[in-house]
Amino acid sequence: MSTLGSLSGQIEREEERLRELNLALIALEAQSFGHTADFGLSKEDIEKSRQLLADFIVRFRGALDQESPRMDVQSLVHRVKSGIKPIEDWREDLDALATQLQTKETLKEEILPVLEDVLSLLDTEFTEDLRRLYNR
Amino acid sequence: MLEYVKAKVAEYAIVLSWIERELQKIDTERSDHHQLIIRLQSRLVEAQKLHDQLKTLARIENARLLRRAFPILHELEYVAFLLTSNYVPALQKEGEADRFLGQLVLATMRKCGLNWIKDTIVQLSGAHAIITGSSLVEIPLIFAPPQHAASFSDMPGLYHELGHNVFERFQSIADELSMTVTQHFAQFRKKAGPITPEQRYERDQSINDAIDYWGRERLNEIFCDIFATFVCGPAHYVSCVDMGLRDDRDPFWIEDGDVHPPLSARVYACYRSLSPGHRKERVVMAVHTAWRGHERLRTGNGVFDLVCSSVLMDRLVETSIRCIEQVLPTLKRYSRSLSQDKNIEQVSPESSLEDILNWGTHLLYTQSEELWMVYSRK
Repeated sequence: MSTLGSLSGQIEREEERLRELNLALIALEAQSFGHTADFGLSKEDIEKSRQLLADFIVRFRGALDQESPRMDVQSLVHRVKSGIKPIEDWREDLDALATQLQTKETLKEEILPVLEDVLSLLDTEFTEDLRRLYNR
Repeated sequence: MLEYVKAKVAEYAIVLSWIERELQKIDTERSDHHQLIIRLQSRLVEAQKLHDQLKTLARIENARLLRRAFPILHELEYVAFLLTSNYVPALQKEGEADRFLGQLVLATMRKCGLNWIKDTIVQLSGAHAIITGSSLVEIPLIFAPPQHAASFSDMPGLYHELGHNVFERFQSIADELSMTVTQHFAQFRKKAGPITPEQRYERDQSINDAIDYWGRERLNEIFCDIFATFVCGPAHYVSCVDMGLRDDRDPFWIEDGDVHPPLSARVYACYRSLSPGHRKERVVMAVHTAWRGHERLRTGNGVFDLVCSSVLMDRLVETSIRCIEQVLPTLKRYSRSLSQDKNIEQVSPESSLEDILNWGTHLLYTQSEELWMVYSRK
């Protein structure tokens, strides 16, 4: 009984989400550190990236309070709830991040680690499934 | 860290250009998979864009931004695995038997209404499996046992793999099934009766675990069992029981590490997906009796009774069939009667793969001694 059928679908969705969010974070960090020209990013690209991250963070933050979160964030919520960082701290950090992302200002450096932590969780999920794919 | 990222930039430059050359070579030598190669080339273009981002990250040497290189490296690793370990070798090694089965599966998928499929490739190299991610849903890669070159035995398992493609194509199926699980356990939670707060806490925890158990991957697997039986009828049910009887594991055992639900749940779901008429077929009754006998050798367990209760399985079957009828309106449940079919030994050009597999199963179970004698003499 192979796991490839369900896993290949799952991992593609994870990869697509990780790619979009990681490229969006690159855009916002490039803006924060003065590298937008290196990546050929326009103001519209930065704005789209900010919106993409804001939408995801708001959805993820909402899911932390739900008994049955939507399937696309279920495993991320599970990961956060079973991690060492208290859930209350996550709620507070994500609220502050969502507020910042909804302004048009350049992201403050102190808020970036929260975004990087979220991306790191998504990357861990993806690489775990990648290992499962190798061992199928 | 910077040196490592630069080294990986160079490494992937070589790998991606090799893939590009190989795809061009295959396309030039053989035109029969042109559509498939176009799709793979567009997947490669996405990987090349990621590679460009990686090059920029390495060039600007900002330590903070360099952390973004790792998700990119993991994605490139995945694309390289998909192409260099799967699609490219399948195309390079495609032989006559692979091609024959590929054409048969392609025709079957189109007949079943999977009209988004542009092409498929089959590799007769092992157990049934499929690669069917969202970007590859139109060009699935199917693995199947080498004996399919000579025998239809076990072939109904291919329909389970086609189910994965349908599940992936229509995201609404996962949402509907997940909703069915949520509603089922919400109702069950209310039926507690008079219990102590401690008992209630324990019961609620077990229910939460049961809800977590039915994540997307398991719903995907059970949907595929139901889909395969819906399309292929008794032949798939028999094949599923055969898989269960060959497997030495406790059919009621819930394994957290396995994305497949326990075999008793899978066989039950397949049985309930048959039409009432097919449940009365001689071959189905014989196999059903054999399976019940196998189950009686085990005692079952309370976790199975909660997680895979017959009430929940019936609801999942009902939801899955409703989804299949919604997303594939031209696909009909397999309904040909086996015991009353006079054409059972005559395969015509109009016969579907499902007909052939069902007739074969019927003959195997009703005339096994005659078949055994014929093949023994040879």
